[in-house]
Amino acid sequence: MSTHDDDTLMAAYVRGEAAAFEQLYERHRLALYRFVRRLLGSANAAQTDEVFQDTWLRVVQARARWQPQGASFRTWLFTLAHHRAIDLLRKSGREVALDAFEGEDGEPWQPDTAAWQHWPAPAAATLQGDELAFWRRAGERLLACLDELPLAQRSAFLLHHDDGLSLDDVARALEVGFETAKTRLRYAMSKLRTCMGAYLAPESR
Amino acid sequence: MSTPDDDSVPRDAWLREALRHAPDADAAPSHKVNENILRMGRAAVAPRTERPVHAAPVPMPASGGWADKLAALWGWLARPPVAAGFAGVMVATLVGLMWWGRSPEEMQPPQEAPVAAAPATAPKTAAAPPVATAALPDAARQAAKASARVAAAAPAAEPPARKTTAAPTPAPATTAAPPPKAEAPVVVAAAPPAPAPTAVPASPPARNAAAADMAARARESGERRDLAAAKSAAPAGAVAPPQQAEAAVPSALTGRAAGASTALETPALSNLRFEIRRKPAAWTWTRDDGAPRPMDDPTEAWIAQTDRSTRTVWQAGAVGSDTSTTTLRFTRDGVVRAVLRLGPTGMRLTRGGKTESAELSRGQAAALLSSLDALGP
Repeated sequence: MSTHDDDTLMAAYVRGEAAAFEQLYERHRLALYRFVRRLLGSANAAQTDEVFQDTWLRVVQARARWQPQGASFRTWLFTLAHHRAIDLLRKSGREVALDAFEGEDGEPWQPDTAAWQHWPAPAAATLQGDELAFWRRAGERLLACLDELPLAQRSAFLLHHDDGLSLDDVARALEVGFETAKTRLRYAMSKLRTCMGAYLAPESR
Repeated sequence: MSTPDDDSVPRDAWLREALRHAPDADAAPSHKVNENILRMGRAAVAPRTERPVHAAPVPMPASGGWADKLAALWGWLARPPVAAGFAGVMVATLVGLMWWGRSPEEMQPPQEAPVAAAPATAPKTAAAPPVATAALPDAARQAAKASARVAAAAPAAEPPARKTTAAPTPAPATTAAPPPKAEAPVVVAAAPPAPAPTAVPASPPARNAAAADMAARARESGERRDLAAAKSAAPAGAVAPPQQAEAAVPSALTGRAAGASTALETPALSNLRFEIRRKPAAWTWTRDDGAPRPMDDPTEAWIAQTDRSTRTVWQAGAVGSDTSTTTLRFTRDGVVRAVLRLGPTGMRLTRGGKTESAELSRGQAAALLSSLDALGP
C-alpha cells in the first residue's frame, strides 16, 4: 500500500484501515507542520502543535465526508490547516484580513532583475561555505518578511512556493477563485522581493 | 530567475531557495504529537468493545468464588437504573428512620376532626340495623360496615365501672381494643334534660357516627398510633343520646364553616400535644386545685382526643365569654406552660402568652369533660 496515492489511502482509511492513515500521516506531516508554522508566523509559533493536531483531528472526524472526486487529499489537508490557523488567529484577537487587496493600490511591484543578478544561483544542489551562509541568512530574512504579509497572501505564497501546489490547487485550498489566488500570489511575491532585495543587497554579502 | 509554471505565475527560484534554507525548514512535529495523532487515527477506526458495565445484566455465575460473585453483584449494582433504584430505597429508609417515633400528623396539614365528638362506642351486639346504614351517605355506610367488622372482631370490653350520667344507658363496649388499664374507664354522656331514650333506639345513630369516625381513622394510616393510644385511654365512650349526637354534628360543622376563614392552621393545643409527646416524663398537670399528676398515657390520649375533635374550630384570641368550669394546668420542669379552661360551650387555651378559643357544642364539651373525669378526680 506504500505506493498508493493519497486518495486511495484515504479511501482505505475510511473503510477502517488504520495503516492507511499512518502512511498518509507520514507522507504529509513534515510539509503540513512547516506550512502551519510559517502560516502562524513567529508570534504564534507556540500554537503550531495545536493547529497541527487539530488539522489531523479534523481529517479523522471528517473522513466519512471526504470525497475523492473533489480536491486531492493534499489540497483538502491544507485547506483544513488554513481554516484552523484562521480560527486560532481570530481567537487570539489578531485581525485576520482575508481580503488580500486591503490597502493595496496599483499593480504589484515587479522585480528589478538588476537587483537579483548578483545573488548566488539558487539551483545548486549542495551549497557550501559563503553561499550556504548567504542562503541561511536569506531564509531568516524571508521568514521575517513573511510575517509582514497579510495572511491571505502569506498562505497563497506558501502553498505555491513551499508546498508546490499549482495555482488551481492554491485557489481550491484557499476556497477562492483562480484570479483571486493569482493576485494574492503576485502581491505576496512582490512584497517579499522588495523585503528581501532591500535586506540582501549584493553589497551586504 | 524563475521557474516556468503552467499557471502563469512562475515560482521565484530565489525565494524558494531562501525558504529551503530557512531556520524552520527542518521543523517537525515532536514524537509525542506524532503518537497522539496516530493513536487518535487508529482509535477512530478500531472496532468498539463493549464495556462490561454497560453490557447486559451480568448473570450470577453458577459456580465460582466469592470474589466472582461480589464482582458480578457490583457490576449489577453499578448499572445506572439499579443504582438509582437502590439510592431511592436508601433515601426512603433514611427518611423513615428520621420520622420514627414521631407522629405523621406533624408533616400533614390539619385534618378534619371526626364528626362525632362523643367517644366511639358500640353496643355489644355489633350487628348494625340496616336501616341505620341506609340513612347514611355511601362513604359513611361503608365506614359503618368497616366498623361493624372491627366490632365483631374485637373482644367485648369490660362494662363500665361507674357512670356519672343519670341517663339509663345500656352497657356499652368499645368498638376497638379493650381497655388496657386497670382502672375502669368511665363512660360519660352529657345528661340531657330530656329523658334518655332506650338503649336500642339510641344506639344506631351514635354507632353510625362512631363507625364513620373509625373508618375515617382507619384510612389515615398516619394516625394509627394516635388512634391506638386514644382507644387505650378513653375506651368506653358513652353512647350519646341521639339528640346530643345530632346536636354535636351540626355544631362542629357550623364551627368549621364559620371558622374556616379564621381557624388556626396549627392550634396551640396541637403544638402542646406534640411537645408533651416528645418528653412526657417532664410534664405534670393539675386539674383545678388538685395535686400535680404525672403525664400518663390516658392523659396524653385525652389530649390527643381533644386535639383531634377540636382542631378545626380553634380561633385566635378569647372569643366569647369565659364560662369555664374546669381548669387544667400543664407544667413542665416546674413551670406552667399552658392553661386549658373547659366550659359547657367551649374551651380556651393560654400558652406562651397567647390565648386561643374553641367553641363547642354542649354535647361535645360534655363528652370531653366526661372523658376528663374518667382520668380521675
